Amino acid sequence: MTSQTSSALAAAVLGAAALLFSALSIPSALQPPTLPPPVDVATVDLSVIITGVGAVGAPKHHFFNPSMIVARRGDTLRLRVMNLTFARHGFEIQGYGVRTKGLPGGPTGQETLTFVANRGGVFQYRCNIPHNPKTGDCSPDHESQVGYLVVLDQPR
Amino acid sequence: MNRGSSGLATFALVLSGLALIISLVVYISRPRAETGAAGPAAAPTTMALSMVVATFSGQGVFAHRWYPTMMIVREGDTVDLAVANPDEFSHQLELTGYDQKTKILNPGDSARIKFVADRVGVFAYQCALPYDPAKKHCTPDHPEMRGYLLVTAR
Repeated sequence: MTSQTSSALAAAVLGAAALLFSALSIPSALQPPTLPPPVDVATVDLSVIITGVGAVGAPKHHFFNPSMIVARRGDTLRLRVMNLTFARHGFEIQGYGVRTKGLPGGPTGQETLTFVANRGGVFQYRCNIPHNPKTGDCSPDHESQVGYLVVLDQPR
Repeated sequence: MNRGSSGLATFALVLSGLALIISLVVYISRPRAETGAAGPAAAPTTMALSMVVATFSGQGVFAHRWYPTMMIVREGDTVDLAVANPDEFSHQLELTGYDQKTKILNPGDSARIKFVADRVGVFAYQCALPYDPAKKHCTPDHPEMRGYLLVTAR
């Protein structure tokens, strides 16, 4: 009788404790890790140039300047993409859904992209037009025409 | 009857003990926001860099940009820039948020900017010399000569 009562009592106490801890863990388990809201936001207003270098007569090496853009989560990016090459090029940030149309070289080959860096991480930006010599699209070094957007999560 | 009730109580005890262990594990390993206390902060360092007026041209466009166009340091780091102007027009580097400015850099000139990055944030640097073709001051793309220094919190 006493053993049975104490056993049932222990079960009740443990059951109550289990219930309490389970209830405590439900809200935090359902939500993803909570990111604090950005402390401070800025606008990064940059000119992005598509250009190439190389010896005369040799295939050119094409790149973006800057080849790395760093922002904090919450910052607004305003990128004026400009193509100074002979071929048509584009600009696309993978994972951000941000891209230009095909840009011809010269003053008409410009497009401004404005967006909020709302996701932290490292994102590659690259030319989004495959190389096609017949149509004057991009260049043989298409695959290496890349840069990186780094979006930092702000502490606190 | 008495034995069956005792067996049920023991079963309940084991079950709730198991539930307690599981919920404790879940509670302790629940996702939490980063505290940032990953370890001792690295000592402040000096980022010494060469900063130049870079020219990009092609298809009738002449672009002048500060190169590097993007810099990142941590709060407390020292920024030490050797600024040079190899262009054929005069320029002047200005980092507004830190009250830093070189002298007017005529073609071939260089200057040095050195300061401690003691404020966190995003700071633009640009050419402080307005476009004036008569004086060979800067170029028509003067407003585009802009880069950013990002200072992160320690």
